[in-house]
Amino acid sequence: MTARAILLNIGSVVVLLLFLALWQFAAVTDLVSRVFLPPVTDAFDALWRQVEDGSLVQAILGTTGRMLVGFAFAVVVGCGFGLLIGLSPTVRAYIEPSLEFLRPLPASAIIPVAILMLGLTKTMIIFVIAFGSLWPILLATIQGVKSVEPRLFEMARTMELSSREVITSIVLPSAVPDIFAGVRLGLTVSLILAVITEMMSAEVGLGANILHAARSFNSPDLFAGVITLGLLGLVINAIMETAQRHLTRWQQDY
Amino acid sequence: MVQDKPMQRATDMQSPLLSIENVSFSVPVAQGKLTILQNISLNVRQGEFVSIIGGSGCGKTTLLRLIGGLNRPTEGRLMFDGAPIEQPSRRRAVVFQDYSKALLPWRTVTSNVQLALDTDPTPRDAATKKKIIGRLLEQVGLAEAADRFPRQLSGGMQQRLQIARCLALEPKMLLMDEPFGALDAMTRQTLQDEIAKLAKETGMTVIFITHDIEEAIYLGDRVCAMESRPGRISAVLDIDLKFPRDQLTTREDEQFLRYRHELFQYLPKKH
Repeated sequence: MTARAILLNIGSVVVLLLFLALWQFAAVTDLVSRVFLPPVTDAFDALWRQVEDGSLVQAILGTTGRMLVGFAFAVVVGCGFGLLIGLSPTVRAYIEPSLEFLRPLPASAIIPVAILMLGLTKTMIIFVIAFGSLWPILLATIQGVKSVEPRLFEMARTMELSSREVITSIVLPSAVPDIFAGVRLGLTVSLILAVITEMMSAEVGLGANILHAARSFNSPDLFAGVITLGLLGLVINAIMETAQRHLTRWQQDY
Repeated sequence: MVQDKPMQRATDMQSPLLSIENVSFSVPVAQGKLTILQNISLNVRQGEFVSIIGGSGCGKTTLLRLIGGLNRPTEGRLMFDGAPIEQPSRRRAVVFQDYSKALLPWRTVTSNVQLALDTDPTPRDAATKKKIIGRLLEQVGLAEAADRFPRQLSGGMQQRLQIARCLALEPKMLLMDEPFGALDAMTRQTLQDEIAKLAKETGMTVIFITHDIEEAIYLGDRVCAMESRPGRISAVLDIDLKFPRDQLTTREDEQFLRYRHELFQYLPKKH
């Protein structure tokens, strides 16, 4: 690490500590009422209590579990249809106008529809998550598949590659950077939707916990939940970044 | 070293490996059709190195694509090894001019060559493949770069990699489309000598497209000069220069200069 990078790292930690200090100061001096803003220490105490009684793990598992199931559907459907639509101009001509209508639809707009049809069930939650995170993945896959270097298809013909070999050896690997960018976006959307939908249903999870804490003016638990969600997002992002770096190694110079 | 056999050149008609018979190629345009190639006939023997020169737009790349089977002629036919050419074949490997686009950027050097072996109908075990790849990379001078990705290689090395991948197909014929056109003069000379050596060693038949007269003569057993609009073969010249050829002495050879003089008239004077 260069001296500059170390300095920047130290700097970012200092900023974070300053922010926490400011928060603590505002709370203990009653600049903001403790009913709304607990001291940092109270929030972390609440967090620790949740860790100890196991409710935190349960909430995290509940939220991420539903999120991952919905997300997995989105990945399978998004990549599958993306490949089909990207490869076939005919399919594209038929489907693209419908896509253009569905794509800009905010996922939250379909929540009432989903509730009406599926009830306040786990199925509804997973459907909404899958639907919402599908679009970035689908569109990125179409884009990635469409932009494969045409010369590679000619090269494949001169090597007499089968259609299956063309897809597995050329189209998919070539589209990986695009697909992965879409997958990252989709994962972010799926976390958001997982939190929102469980606020509306009775499932155990981080979003439900936050809402419950807010309604009972239990600000330490409320902020403990917010902190947990922040950390969860951080961890997911770190995992995805590492995976992305690994998958797109070939794009980096050394 | 294999000796050049100028006497055999006259015997084109005895079952050539490739025969191009009255081939024309045109594309439909707004007002009727545009003829790219007109009445091309050419026979190529097994083991022969044929250079094709012509200015830009004379249809030489199109001719190569017809031989490769990437396009079909609108008239006439092409025969390869006794059968009409209807589609691309692993027996006619194509070295594309734009090497950076023809390589798989996400695969290492080794793995790019591996593609040719993995898709081979003849099954081979991993150890055999590894040995073949090692030998090919050695042959084209890329052994040191085996684990690098294409974008970490120079242009010359990328083109060497494409050649290695083509050799892994064990083709009967190598079709090269201005393969060294984008390289600097030094690299180009090195690669010319390497491809000449490879062709002699493997006995492979080579069709070599270029716009560089000297390169055409230096490498070829025969040089075909093409003229444009519509593209046609205007001269075929047997090159009687001894092998191995040398960048310095061959190019200073009086015979070499005579060939150069003769072919010069077929190239466009203005672009």
